[in-house]
Amino acid sequence: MCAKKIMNPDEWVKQVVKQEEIDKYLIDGKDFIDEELINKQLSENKDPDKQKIRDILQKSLNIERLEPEETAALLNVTDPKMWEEMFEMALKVKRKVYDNRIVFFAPLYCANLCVNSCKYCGFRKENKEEKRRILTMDEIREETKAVVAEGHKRMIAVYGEHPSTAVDYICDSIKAIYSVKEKSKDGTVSGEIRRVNINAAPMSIADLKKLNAAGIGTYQVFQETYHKETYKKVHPAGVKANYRWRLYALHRAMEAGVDDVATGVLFGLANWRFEVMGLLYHAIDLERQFGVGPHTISFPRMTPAIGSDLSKESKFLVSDENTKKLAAILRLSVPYTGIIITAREEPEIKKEIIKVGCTQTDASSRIGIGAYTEALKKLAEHQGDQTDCKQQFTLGDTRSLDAVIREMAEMGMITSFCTAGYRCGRTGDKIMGLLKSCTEGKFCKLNAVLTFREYLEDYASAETKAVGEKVLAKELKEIEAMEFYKKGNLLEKFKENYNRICNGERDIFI
Amino acid sequence: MVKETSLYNDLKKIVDSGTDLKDELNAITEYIYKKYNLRSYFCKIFASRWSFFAGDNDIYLSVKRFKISNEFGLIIEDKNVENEKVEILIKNLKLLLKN
Repeated sequence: MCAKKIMNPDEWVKQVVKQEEIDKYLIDGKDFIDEELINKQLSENKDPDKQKIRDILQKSLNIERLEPEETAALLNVTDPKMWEEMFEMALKVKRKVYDNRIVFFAPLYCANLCVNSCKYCGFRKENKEEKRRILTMDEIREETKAVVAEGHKRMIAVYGEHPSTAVDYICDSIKAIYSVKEKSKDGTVSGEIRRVNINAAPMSIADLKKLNAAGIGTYQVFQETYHKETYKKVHPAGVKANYRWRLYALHRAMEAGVDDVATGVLFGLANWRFEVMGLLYHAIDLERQFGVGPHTISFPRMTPAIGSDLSKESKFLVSDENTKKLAAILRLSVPYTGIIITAREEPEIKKEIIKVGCTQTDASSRIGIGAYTEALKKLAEHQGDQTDCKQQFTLGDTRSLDAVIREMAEMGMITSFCTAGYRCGRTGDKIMGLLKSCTEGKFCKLNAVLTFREYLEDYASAETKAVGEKVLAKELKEIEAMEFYKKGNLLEKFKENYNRICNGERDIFI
Repeated sequence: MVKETSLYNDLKKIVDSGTDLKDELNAITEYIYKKYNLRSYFCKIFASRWSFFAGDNDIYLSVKRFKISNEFGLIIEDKNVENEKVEILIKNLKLLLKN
């Protein structure tokens, strides 16, 4: 069998950007980030009075997206007591839309070859300390097996931007991940990844159609920073130097039929308040042009990366306190959008921030290339040590999935591995409609219980099982009492499914 | 057998009279509702992903999934309708949409 011919990276870079696939989304030649306007909105909404803030909070609680002026007002709150109210309201909004669940996933870094020169990233092409590697399909399957063995059902596959790992490689890797079917501890139950999300470079519409056909879950592209001058400074070369190609990556994905898209900012590159406004404008423009905003928003903070001075020295690094604030404001500004906090954060701050409305997180994450299988080999030598493992950045939370799930359960939250919506047509504008009407959360509650039951049966330690059973008992009691579930035969079907899972069946959902 | 043929003919008539696949599938879900009192929608299948394509956008009940072809799946309310009736419906839809 002949290996596929890979284009020279320098030549490849020149042909990636399709200018017409940027221009078609511009309005009067302008993109949706008007820096002057954002700065004006931030400066004109200083010292907002309490009543105005409370009115805005009420709007969030009605599950309406905020207007930029309203988000700007929230960003300018200085009164600590008012912040406490905002944190409380953010949690209320989250509970109303998503209930008390937290969805878990694991990242899988497939390759670290990259044509870009991002100053904050360990994968940048000039970083000679980075050992370059592309996982083969066999290696991807081995990595997936290690992730599945922890109990994960959802994965985000991550790729650098390089001709060797362009769309065909990504499609093959998705197939490889989905092909893994593992037996659990008792040797009878099949473990598998049921939803593969992708974090990959911006692509053309034609390539995105290929990705869509491969069955991806969410397509995630972080803008990194919406501040144009900063963007230019930190992305001096490569495809990524093109701000607008990246800015409209999710628009192209929507056009290609990928109906769940995700954005994010690498906080620490520019002023955090400005970046929150950028994220909001991104959501608004997607809603305006496609009727549906992002499925999730992530807010990673810059952490030290090997070979990146910027990641250690930026003057815009965001404090723990401000990270909590920006997470709460994102929750309030786009009440029906998932908010992801990653294992970059230390356990303590992660625990704090989850309380203001996050819906997803990763656990047991390894971000080196091939790191899950290597970690298994090295486990006996030095558990949890990341220092000898080359990676894009460093993690703050290196605990096992079991330990993080236990902590969530102790906080009264239910872990969910639900992938039902994605396999039942509840995606894109359909799921957004259900989220806005606070209906999806009710389905999620049922599916969270079903998938948590599976986890407790198959993977949980005795300690986690003990805490988890208490959470499940409470959930089951609530489900029995809620009017919504008495419609039709929903409750009856749920109970039937729950019993089937207790009796050994798997992957049953509502 | 007569009933099966009649069902197939009804479905074929809907498809033949349509000009656009989405409209045809919408019309089929309306037919299913009238005939069986079951709400339903079609999804486009992309490997594991089933994306809403046509039909009732407003189902809040437990559902069942049926793969109709490599490209399309049908999702129907999981109600107490005789299994045999549903099986015949799916069989006919598969026949109709196999191409």
